[in-house]
Amino acid sequence: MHSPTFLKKTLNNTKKLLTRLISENPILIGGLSLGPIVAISTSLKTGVSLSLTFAIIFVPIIIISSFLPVKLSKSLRLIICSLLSCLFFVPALYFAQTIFPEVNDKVGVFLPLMVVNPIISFKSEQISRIKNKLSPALESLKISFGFTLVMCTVSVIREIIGKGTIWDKPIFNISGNVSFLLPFMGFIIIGFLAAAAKKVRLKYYNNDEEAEG
Amino acid sequence: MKRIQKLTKAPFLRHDGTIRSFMGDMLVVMPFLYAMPLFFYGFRVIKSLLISIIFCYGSDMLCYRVKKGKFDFSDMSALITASLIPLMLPASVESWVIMVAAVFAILVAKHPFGALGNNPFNPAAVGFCFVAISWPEKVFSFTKPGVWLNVFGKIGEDVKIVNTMADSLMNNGRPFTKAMDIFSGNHAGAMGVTCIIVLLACAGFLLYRKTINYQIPLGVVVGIAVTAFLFPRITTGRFESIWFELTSGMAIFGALFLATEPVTSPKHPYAKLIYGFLIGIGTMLFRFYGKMENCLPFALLIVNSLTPFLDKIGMAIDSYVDRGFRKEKTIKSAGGAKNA
Amino acid sequence: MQDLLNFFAAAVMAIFIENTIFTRALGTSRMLAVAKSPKMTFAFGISITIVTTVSGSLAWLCNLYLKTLSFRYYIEPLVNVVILTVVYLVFCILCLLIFPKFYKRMKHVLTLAVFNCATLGALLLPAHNSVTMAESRLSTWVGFSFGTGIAFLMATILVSEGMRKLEASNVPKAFKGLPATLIYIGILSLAFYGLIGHELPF
Repeated sequence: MHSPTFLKKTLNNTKKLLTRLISENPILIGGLSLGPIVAISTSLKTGVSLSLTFAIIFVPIIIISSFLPVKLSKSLRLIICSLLSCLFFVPALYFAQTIFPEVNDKVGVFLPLMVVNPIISFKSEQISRIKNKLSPALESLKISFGFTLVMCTVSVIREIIGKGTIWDKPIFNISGNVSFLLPFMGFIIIGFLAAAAKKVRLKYYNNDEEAEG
Repeated sequence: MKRIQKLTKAPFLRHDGTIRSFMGDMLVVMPFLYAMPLFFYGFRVIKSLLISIIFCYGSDMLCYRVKKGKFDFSDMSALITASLIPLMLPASVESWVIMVAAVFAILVAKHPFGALGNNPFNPAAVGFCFVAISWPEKVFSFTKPGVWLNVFGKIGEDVKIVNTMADSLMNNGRPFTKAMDIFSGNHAGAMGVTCIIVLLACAGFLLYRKTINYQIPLGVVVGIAVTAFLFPRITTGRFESIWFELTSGMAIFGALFLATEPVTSPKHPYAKLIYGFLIGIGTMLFRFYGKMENCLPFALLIVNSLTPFLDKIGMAIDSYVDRGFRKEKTIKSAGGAKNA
Repeated sequence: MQDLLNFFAAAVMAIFIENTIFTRALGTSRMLAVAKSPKMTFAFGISITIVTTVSGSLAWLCNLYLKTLSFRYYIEPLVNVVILTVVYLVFCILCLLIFPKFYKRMKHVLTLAVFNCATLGALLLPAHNSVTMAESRLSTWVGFSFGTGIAFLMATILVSEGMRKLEASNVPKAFKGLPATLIYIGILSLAFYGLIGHELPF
């Protein structure tokens, strides 16, 4: 009977994957790309559209930048990545507007700002340095998934407590605490999530020196 | 005159007295601050205080349990935060607002930074600011004193919401409250901030016991007075402007009880004066350009973040003055040696 | 004279009321990286102010034409990134010619300062919020961009003081470093929201 052990193995693998996603999360541990997550993650719709935009821009850029020469200077790499991101922004914006059309009003400036997301420059540099050890496609998918996880978690929390709705459909009959929709609660919620992620990371690595690095 | 130079790194300066003596004195004074609100608004005041204490102390103990695995009953600072929060809110406010303020103050402003002695911001101010932004219509609607409110539930439909002095000033109108009413607290406002006589008496006691210092309240008063004198919001004279700006809102209460918290305020005497002055000016700026009546806690939070910087400035002034004294001494001794 | 007033009004609004970090969280990650050393703070703050001011004026010029296009949202980032690249290259060349000794250090700071959320945000926000930006005059744009740079510098100074105090405090292990700093910035942002009192347009 292979099914019980197969199920157990899948669960174990998922748990390991989730732990790795949390303990090596570029947002919660690295502190990158806090702008959109703090300011605009006020409803699940905006969270999903931003995550989608990020994924559409991020994955191709990382794959392309793995083909760039290693000796390329940091600034030149940054310029090329930014310009390429602007190109990939066009399909990303198209898809985001398809998911929900009012995206431009709600999200405003943050969609175009995905183009200069610090995670892009950080990861492209890392990929070029340790090209042989990491597969660019897998790494970029992992990071996108981590970003989506954080973004959607925060969006759901803030939408439920802030407006009492999910995906703009009311769930409880309360009006909600409006300050959860303001950026300062974003900072505080991300702060607590980052503390939780750090705790997971400390447990996962089980060694203080390695975790602080 | 020998001055003992403390350690150079500002955060390592510690208060002279013990933390226990500070907390003990503050707890002695708190019941007196609740006496006049009880007289004006009835037992609802006691209910608010009890709710605040239960939730503040409860969340404090829960956090200690999560952190250290056991309850730490010796930490009384949560009780002080719990006593200060209802004093800044109207007597008519509903219980869950106080509950949210209490829990937010402890969970967000105190424990993530290391609990007792390590909080960079005043927890009571943080709790108040949070509920003030979340539910401004509940936190800034005040009833007339002398009308006892029902203890449980919402206040009755027939109780009127009145304008406070701070409200009139915001609309550039001169408040009509008489001096006697201002001193006895017989005008609308947050529970504990209206009765000036009680506030001054408690402050006198704390100053005598050296629990709080005079520099910070003096700085706040000077800051507010100078700004009110130079830029009056009312047209009936600058001294009236100073009088009303000082006695409205939370100016006196904040200067005496919020700003003087030993963990978040600077330790150096010159730094304390500058700190108070900045809080005074900040409060007036918030009153001019903000949309809220009681805005001292907001200004307090911003100036709290400048505390280490102000301590450094204080010590720099100290060493500059010291160098001046030493120069004088060497000149005097050189002159003396010449004459001998 | 009116232009100068507009400039200062927009700058003051960008510093205190619409602070790029405390009210919109733009540039937070860069700020956290830079707040660790005081020298870097000042160099970064000054360079970001100069970059945003110059790019702001160029962006206003481009926006005059961009406003008329129907597909402006699609090419908006490209146009602004090209402006930033041009400004960056010009500054690098200027630095090479005038201060050849500091070129390497300045290039490192400039790279970080030019391509980040705060700078691009300073260029895009006036275009998106032309209703609040008073008929999108050049003086208002440039004032807002200049104010964004100064706001960034001010926020970095405040947060670096806080970070130093937190390092000396007894912060619990799970909160040490990034989490406590984020909650610190959150409480400062709460205090600044006392001035605004309502949600800002993005």
